[in-house]
Amino acid sequence: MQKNLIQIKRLKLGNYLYILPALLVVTLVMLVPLIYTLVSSLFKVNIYNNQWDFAGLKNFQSIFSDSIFVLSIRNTITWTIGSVVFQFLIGFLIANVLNMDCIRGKSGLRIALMVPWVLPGVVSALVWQWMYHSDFGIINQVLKDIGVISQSVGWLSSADTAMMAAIIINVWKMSPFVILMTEAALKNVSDDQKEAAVIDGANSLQVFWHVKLPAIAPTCNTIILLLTIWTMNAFTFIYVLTEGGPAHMTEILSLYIYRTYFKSYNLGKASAASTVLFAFTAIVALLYNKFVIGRDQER
Amino acid sequence: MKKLVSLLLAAMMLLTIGTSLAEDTSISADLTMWTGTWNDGKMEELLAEFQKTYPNINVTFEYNPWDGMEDKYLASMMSGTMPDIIDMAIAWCIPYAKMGYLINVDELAEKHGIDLEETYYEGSLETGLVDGKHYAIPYRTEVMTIIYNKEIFEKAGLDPEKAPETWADVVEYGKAITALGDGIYGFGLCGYGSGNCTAQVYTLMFSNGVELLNEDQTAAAFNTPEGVEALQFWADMYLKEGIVPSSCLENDNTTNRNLFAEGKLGMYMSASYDLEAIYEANPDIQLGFSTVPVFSDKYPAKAQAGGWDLGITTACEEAERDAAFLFSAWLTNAENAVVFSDTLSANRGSATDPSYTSGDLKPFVDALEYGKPVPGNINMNAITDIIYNESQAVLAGMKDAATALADAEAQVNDLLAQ
Repeated sequence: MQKNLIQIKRLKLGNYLYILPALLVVTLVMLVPLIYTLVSSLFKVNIYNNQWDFAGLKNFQSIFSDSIFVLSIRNTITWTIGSVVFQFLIGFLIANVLNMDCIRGKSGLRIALMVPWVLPGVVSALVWQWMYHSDFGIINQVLKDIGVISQSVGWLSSADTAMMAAIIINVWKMSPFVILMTEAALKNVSDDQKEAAVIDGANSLQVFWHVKLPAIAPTCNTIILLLTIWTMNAFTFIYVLTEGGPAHMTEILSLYIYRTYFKSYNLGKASAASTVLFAFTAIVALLYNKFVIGRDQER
Repeated sequence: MKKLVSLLLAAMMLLTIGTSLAEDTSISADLTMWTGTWNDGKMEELLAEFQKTYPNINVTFEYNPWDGMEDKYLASMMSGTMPDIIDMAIAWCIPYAKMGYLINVDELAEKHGIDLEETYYEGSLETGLVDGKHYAIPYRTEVMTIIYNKEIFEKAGLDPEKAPETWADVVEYGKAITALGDGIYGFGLCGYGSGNCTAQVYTLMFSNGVELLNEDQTAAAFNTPEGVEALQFWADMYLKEGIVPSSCLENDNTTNRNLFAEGKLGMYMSASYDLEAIYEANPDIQLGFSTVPVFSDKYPAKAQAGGWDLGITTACEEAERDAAFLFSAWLTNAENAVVFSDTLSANRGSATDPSYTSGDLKPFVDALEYGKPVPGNINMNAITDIIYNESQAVLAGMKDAATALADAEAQVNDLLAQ
């Protein structure tokens, strides 16, 4: 008995040794930068002579009294909600259409639909930047040709349209991910359940609502959580498309952090803004996990 | 006797030539130099030439892309991993010198018989001047000028040999060119890209007698009636005069250059580094050039000067500083700076180089005397970012120039007070 216990303990210790390399890597690349950011947010740092003076919460006071930071929070909320809602709805709709038996040439369609997702973000952004261009962009040209607009619109240069234009690209880019995940989940819905519902007299809508949707809900919730986290932390599209302009109108938190550190070299303030973004993302993820994904697991 | 004298003279001449080409093996060093990726390939050739005179001085080059270059320099300074020689954009020199990362080169210059003020343009030397001491050796300089398309001028009924002399001329000419229609506009305004956009704004401000910072660099100095006039004038070329493409808030200098090369712009503001790309895109284009226009007789023409300097860092060991200076001085001499600079040499002696005395480069050389660098302040990057965003707000119709400059002034003063 005693011998068995020792063997089990050794085995458990061995298991921990197996995950040790991964644990070390995660600690080094995630935990150390996180702690460094949290600590530096409490200091006024002169990066030129590497002088660190304790500043308490002054960096946080400073960012919350900065109207551009407040604007960047508002922009981040608009950017995240606008992107995630349409990424999910469009992706979900297309996945369900692709899952229909009557659709032919599914393989070709799937490959075509995946193209935006596999293209590098910078390439996509640059292509769209030209498509949106006021003078040479195909979008303005087509809209003028069909009589929707009479004069070119500065999609990326107008404060009224720049954020919407960026969201459209983000939706185009990430909807294929939703399609891929949702379709995979739909394929896993038991045929027996669907057939049983049909035998019981359910029509297509009822089968979708009462059989398919509950079965794929956990996957959908995970997709929404992932999209939300990715979108809140996104940087590439806005940076390449507008650099946060015109006049900060598309500046989201990640760009504010970049600008504060790499233009103003204000490590303390940039760290404080990063801490706010981290807290913001963590709270959203925790609440969503507890109330939405947790509920799925209880079922 | 005559033969003997001739032989003696010949021997003396050979001795003189021999001495001037003699190898100097007394100085040896193993140096490192950081420069831009655009110099890759060129530096080894230059070094091979240098080593004909100084065979015991070796230099290892590391090439850095423009993106992230400044960040890398700063990180290396903070972590004590600097090279011996760094190739810097002029805006970085004074901050690095003030932070104590560059050595004063005055003594070395005197020791090796180089009169810095005689050798280099005054404006270029000022980019490394702190408290009357020189901390950088300039080699590349460029000043904003107006580049125009002579064929478009002719089509618009303008004299292709008469460049605009005042900013009012630019608007007048621009209107005549825009009236041609067919998507052709008078002037290329940069509303995108902080460096490109502010190069235009600063140039208009400088030509209206505006300083960006006060003398001791403790406060903003641009929020004056002249500053407001300059910014409003710049924005009004788009907002009121209609001589600028409607896409101007999306156009950086590269886009404007492409539009110009395609014959869609009559005039735009840039420097000699654009010429090669313009001719490559449109070999038949007839170019005209003018120094930057003035607002009135009240202030002389002034345009933002850009450029690059070499600095010897404090990481360079005392024993190797002579070698570092000799290599830097050799790279920036009248002959080599023409090759090394790619654009225009900051060495006065290069002005007589055949490529500078005729052809397209001459107007750019002539424009050098109008150059004015931005203040060498540690916060200049952030200040430029502030002015860029406020200028965009004016172009986007969100603010007028007076409000934008007042807001920019408050932000800059906050920044400088930190």
